[in-house]
Amino acid sequence: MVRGRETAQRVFAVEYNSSRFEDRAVEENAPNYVITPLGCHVNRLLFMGVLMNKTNTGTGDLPNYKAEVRDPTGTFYLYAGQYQPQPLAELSRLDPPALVGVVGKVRTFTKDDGTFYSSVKPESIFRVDIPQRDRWILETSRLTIERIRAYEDVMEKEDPSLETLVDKGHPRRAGECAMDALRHYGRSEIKGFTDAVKNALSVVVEGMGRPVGPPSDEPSEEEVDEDVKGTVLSIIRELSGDRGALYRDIMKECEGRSIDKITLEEVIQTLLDEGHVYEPTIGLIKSI
Amino acid sequence: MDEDSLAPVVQEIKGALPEMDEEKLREELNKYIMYGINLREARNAIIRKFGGRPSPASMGSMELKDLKGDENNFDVIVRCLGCSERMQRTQNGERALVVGLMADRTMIRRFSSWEGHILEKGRTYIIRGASARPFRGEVEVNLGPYSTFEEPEEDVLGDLDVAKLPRYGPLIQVKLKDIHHGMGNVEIIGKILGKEHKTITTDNTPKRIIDGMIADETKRLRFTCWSELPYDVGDVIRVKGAYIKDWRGIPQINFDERAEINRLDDVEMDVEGSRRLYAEDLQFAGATDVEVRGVIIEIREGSGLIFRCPVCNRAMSSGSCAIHSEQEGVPDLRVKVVIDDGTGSLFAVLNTEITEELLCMAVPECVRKFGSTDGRELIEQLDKRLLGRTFILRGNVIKDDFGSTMLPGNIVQDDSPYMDEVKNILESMGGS
Repeated sequence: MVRGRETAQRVFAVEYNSSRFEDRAVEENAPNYVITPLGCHVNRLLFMGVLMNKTNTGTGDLPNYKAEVRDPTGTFYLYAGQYQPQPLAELSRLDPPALVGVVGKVRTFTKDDGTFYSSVKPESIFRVDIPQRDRWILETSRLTIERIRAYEDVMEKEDPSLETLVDKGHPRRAGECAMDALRHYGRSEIKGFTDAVKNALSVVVEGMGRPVGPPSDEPSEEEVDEDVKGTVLSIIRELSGDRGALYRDIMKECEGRSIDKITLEEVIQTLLDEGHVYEPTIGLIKSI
Repeated sequence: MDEDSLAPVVQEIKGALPEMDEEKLREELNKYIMYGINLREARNAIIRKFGGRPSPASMGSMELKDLKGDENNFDVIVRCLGCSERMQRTQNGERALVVGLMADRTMIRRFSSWEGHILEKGRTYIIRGASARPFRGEVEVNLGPYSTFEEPEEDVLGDLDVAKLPRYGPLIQVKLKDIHHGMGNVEIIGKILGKEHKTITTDNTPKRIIDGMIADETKRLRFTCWSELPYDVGDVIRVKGAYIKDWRGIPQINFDERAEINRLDDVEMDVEGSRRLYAEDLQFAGATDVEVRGVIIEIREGSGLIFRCPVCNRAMSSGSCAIHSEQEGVPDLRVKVVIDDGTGSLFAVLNTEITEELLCMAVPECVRKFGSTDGRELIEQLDKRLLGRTFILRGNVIKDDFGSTMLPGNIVQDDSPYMDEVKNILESMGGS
């Protein structure tokens, strides 16, 4: 059987980034998939949003870009190296903020403590306009709602099956997602994704083309205590070697000063957003 | 269990294990029987235990209509209606598979063989040691390594009128979108969208056939009618007993005088919606005159200004054809794209006219401007006009070993208003 070309899945950043599982290929040349909480198997994805910033973490001869693209629900993290010539060239040309479309492959990283990160290895990056971005939001909303509805039905059933979902009128693809979501994540809370879709569609209606804040279950930046921020920044500076400080070392140091893990993640995100530190590779934080 | 009923089984086991002592075999068999194992399983277990290869007991002569799909060793007298060999990919690499149709007095069935048993069309065979398996919802006769073939002295099926036999498999009612290659006996309801008479030659005799297009709410497909079709474009017809063949991966509906065809005068059928399909429906099957809406996410190598070999029309690379070596190439324009709608992904090749329109430039002008360049500027223009944009492509989809390729007759950018739909969805979700 011919393996079809991998579909460019439409998922919002919040769904993609909330993923905790992957389906790693055993066979050679078989694709890897990130499995989202709504059960979408992502190997390739298409998204459109605002290029918020870019950092060249390589050298002159061997550039290496890390970039962030924001959709109305969250941020996609991109890493492009020498084997992604088109995205590399495009990123070096682009001046943030810019509205871009990205086709990319999944990239995953599991920290020692088991925390799972999903980012993106871009295949191509191109400029888009607001109507193009809006159409992406609409299409992604449609397909996300499809997954949400099927999953809601799955959760109501004692003994759900793909066939009963299809009989109820769900598209087979959404039914498959729902069954996989149940298998991997069990019965989990998904209200955040419904809110994210509403949020995204509101952005289109407002017609402002501006990115909005993260969904409400994520902390907003104002909540971060300035003192804690200063402490974390100084810890990072202390621990930074040539390549930066290991995330888990920072975490250990913070535990000693009773800054918990969740607060630490919030603070580091704020520091990243404000440009005090950057992440040369996943797991390493370096001060600027 | 009495000795008499065990004796033939012991003989069978002895046949597979000639070195063994009959008394010993009888003891063994009795042990299994005492544990409540049935004769067939006991027999196979004993043969395996002593290093033999069990072949199931013959069920004797069978008729095709009585096969259920779990028979392991039976005999049939059949006429071969045709067969062919093709390469099939399996877990252990490529293997030759013979598939064909056979008939006895009761019905027609598909048969297959991995052992290269090619039967001759029109001949009658006594086949011993065949087995039956379910395949795509139908029962198929399998000819294995132990099957033997023999032509009877007198053709006992000489007067068989195949045209009067039912097609193989139970009659299955299907929507057009669910039709796939190899279905043997389907019932469809559809509206005739077009028909034309053709004359073709089969077995050296000219035959008049009708080629056309039929559609239901779900899909549109080509059909070939091998007999008379007294109905016209616009009529809704029911065909009972059609069979499906593939042409370049596109399933086509075939029917002949064996099928029962009637017009349904009281059925209204809206087939407009059947044109628009999801990419997932086309990824593994071809189609005729369909529409896909998706985002163009890639422009592939070999797009833009190309030069074709004047002999074979293949695209040349650096002034040389793969078959006809160096040639004065004929310039042409095309774009090879990937279109993706989030449910599936399709290759599409945009033809000369479409590409000229996209570039607002005809081929000669293109040659003047870009003929001596590396063409990158042209690709950049195509990128700008296509990449990341939503298009509606309409045309045929062909399927081969590399997947599906769409050959659109026209493409339009989707610039329909979307705000109302966004608002409707928001409202249905209970506002923001």
